[in-house]
Amino acid sequence: MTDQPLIRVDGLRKVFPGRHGRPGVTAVDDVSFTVAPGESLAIVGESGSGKTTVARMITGLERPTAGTVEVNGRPRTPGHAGAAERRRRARETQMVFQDPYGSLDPRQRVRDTLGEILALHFGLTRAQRADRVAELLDQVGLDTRIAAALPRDMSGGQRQRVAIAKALATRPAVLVLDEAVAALDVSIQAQVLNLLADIRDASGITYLFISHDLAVVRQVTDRAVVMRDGAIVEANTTADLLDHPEHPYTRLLRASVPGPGWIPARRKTA
Amino acid sequence: MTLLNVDHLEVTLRRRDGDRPILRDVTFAIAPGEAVGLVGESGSGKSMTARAIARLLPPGARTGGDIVFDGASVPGMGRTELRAYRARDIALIHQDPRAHINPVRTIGDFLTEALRTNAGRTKADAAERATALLAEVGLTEPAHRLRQYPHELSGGMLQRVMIAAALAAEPRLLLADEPTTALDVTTQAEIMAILGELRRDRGLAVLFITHDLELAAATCDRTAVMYAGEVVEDQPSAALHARPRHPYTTALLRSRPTIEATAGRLPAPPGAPLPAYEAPPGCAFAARCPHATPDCETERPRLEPLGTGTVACLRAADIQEATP
Amino acid sequence: MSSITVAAPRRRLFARVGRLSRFGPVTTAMIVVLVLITLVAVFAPWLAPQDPLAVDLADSLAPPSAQHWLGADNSGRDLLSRLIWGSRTALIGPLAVVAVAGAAGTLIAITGAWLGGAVDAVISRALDIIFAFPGILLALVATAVLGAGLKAAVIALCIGYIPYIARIVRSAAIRERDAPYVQACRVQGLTGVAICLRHLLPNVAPIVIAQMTVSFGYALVDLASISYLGLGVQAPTPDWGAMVAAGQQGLLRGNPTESVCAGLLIVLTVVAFTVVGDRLSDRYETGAAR
Repeated sequence: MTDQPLIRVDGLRKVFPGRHGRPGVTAVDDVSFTVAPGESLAIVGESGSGKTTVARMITGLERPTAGTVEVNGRPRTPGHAGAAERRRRARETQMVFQDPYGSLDPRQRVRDTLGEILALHFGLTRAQRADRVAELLDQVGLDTRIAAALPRDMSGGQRQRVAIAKALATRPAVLVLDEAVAALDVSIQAQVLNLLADIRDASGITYLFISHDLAVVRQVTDRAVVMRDGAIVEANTTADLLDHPEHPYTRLLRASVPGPGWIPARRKTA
Repeated sequence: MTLLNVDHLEVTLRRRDGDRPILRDVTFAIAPGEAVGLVGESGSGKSMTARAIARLLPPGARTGGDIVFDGASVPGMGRTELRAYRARDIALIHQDPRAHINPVRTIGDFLTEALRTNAGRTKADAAERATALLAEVGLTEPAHRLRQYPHELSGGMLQRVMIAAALAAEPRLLLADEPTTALDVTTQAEIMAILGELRRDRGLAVLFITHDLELAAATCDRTAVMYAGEVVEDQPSAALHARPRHPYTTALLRSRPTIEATAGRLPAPPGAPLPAYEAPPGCAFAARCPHATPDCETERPRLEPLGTGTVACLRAADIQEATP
Repeated sequence: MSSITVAAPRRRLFARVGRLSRFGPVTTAMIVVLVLITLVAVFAPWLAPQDPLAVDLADSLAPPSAQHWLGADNSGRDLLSRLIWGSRTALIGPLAVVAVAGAAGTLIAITGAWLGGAVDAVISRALDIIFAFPGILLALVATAVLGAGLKAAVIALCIGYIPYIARIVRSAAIRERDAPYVQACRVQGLTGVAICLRHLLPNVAPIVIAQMTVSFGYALVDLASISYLGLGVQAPTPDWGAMVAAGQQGLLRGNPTESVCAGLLIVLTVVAFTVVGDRLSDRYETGAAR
């Protein structure tokens, strides 16, 4: 096993230029961290923390203003990537989004959605593709009959499982989950969290888990990084971070989680 | 003496392809100054319950059962009575404040409009009252805020404005439909603190609708749990959290990961939550319930008193459960 | 031969009417109208009782009779036959405009929406410039360059209608571009062209079709106006717009049949396309596909 981290992010910065005379926004400011192979790292923060922007820079949806992203030891140059390079990156990092109702092309059946990705990356025969589609659906706990369904015939939980299957189709080393369970009902959320744990146990895949929900983060991740206003304020193992938070903001987050005996206190005015 | 009594409420929507029951049997009560949490997942009917209480149902909806507010039956109210009820007795706040405030009018206009038309105050008087309310909900520079437009305020600030507007008419019951779901957790804590304070100061009763059982259990005096269009359990919050009686409540509590420790595997119930119109005969939760017997599939359970509250489960007395 | 080919479409017609009744009575009626006009245009040679170009000055402006069911025009040509044959230019002209403007507008809009930035800005400004020119003015320019006739008018309107369609498609495309499933496609390594063709295009297609249907009506009015002004279809080719103009002679002499009938047919066809197009727009705007 190598000591080389799977993802290395160094001095990452993203500034969104201002428009119509308004000043620009620094969404991410000098963020650095590493993710080891097989690890599950959480990026915790509230809205405006920059956690989603970091995820988008790692998967190539957003171009960093400064700083580097290295995956598997290879830097990802921020310029325009050719088709071959983009395909190669797709086999390294994949992403699951928050909204189950926007994650799937409404006009594509599940088997075509999955089949399209397989056809792009792997030279499989039609029969092999069908087998792989069945395999992926099984991996996410869905009946193969759903291959013929359209998104509008599926529930939120089912759609999110298909989204996970889509992300796993390229056999990526890293799965970035951007609030992937936040929009699901509690009982469905639990099912999907179990599924994610099972997938990780079976394949050793690495997770980058973006979330604002501390309880979910506790359940699913080994280490956590807390972001606020674009910067990292604290980083630790998840257990230590939540049991012994050091930074005042982490303590505030921790104290804001409802539970028995919780008394919300007014701390500030808006 | 109860302020609000919801009695076997049924709501059915009329659609082109047939009738759709949304609420099958909702029963609970709120005493003056009491905070009751109404918890459920998608399809449980919790939002529709709030709308029924405010009589804001979609056109063509049929109701059964009764909603009694301070002795008066809400479905039976005439137009004048209904207007007075909505303007003075109850107030409603929603999940998305931005969708419920006119974006082209100032915050001041929004707050003072109701005061001027319903309470007949002068413009200056209403502005003064609005400023005082904004200060109460914790907004800085309240006089300046009156002149601002909704897009200049964040989600958390707008929700405070909504609360201020809701309280302007001094209602006796606040219907809060997922008011903090779209907010950051720190902002949520703030808003819950404000609501708690205002409640105690004014003796305001609150119906707090949420999908978050922990939040309801921590902030409400009593919690009612809904599934497939009916109330399946209703207990004082502490008791519900420590000793849930209905298998669904137990499943819901256990499905949530805790912040204290990592559970090996979350005991998630199989299947997905149902809306009322997909409920089978018998108990709606039977297919997902670890304690279901063949009786559960044929006989529909009704709310019966048990311990400190009521439960709708045929086997509740047999099951002795406590959350881990 | 004619009887066999006419019977088969009628059977299909009845079956489709049954299915379409879910659209509501008015829309169904309009769809029927459009189908009938299309059939009349297709089968004009067999339906027209006489040669529409046959001149007989003795019958000039004749009132309705057994020989001329609707009477005759200024040159003694049979009005009914000319109206029947006129349905061809009434449909082909707008069809060409809508097809070309639709295809070009969609292509330009999706390209601008996908590439964004400077490309989108240039495209938007170019569309704004074209938007500013009235269709008639474009037709005048085209006629000056290409000579009078339907071809010039159609080419002018093809260009003039691009911004109408492009604007709507562009906002729909931007909405889809920002949807998670498109972002997911980017992460999956699909090229921009593949995403645009396989994902953006099918999802904006319903809106494009609805818009094209509505535009058909506008294009018909524009083309008829251009012909009325004498710039479009030239005599002696039968065309409803030109007939409205030519019928003025008859109006002044007490026989308004030509202008009125041609005008009514234009109105009927435009209303039918607009109603159907609006209905399609409503359906797809509420996201029926989702």
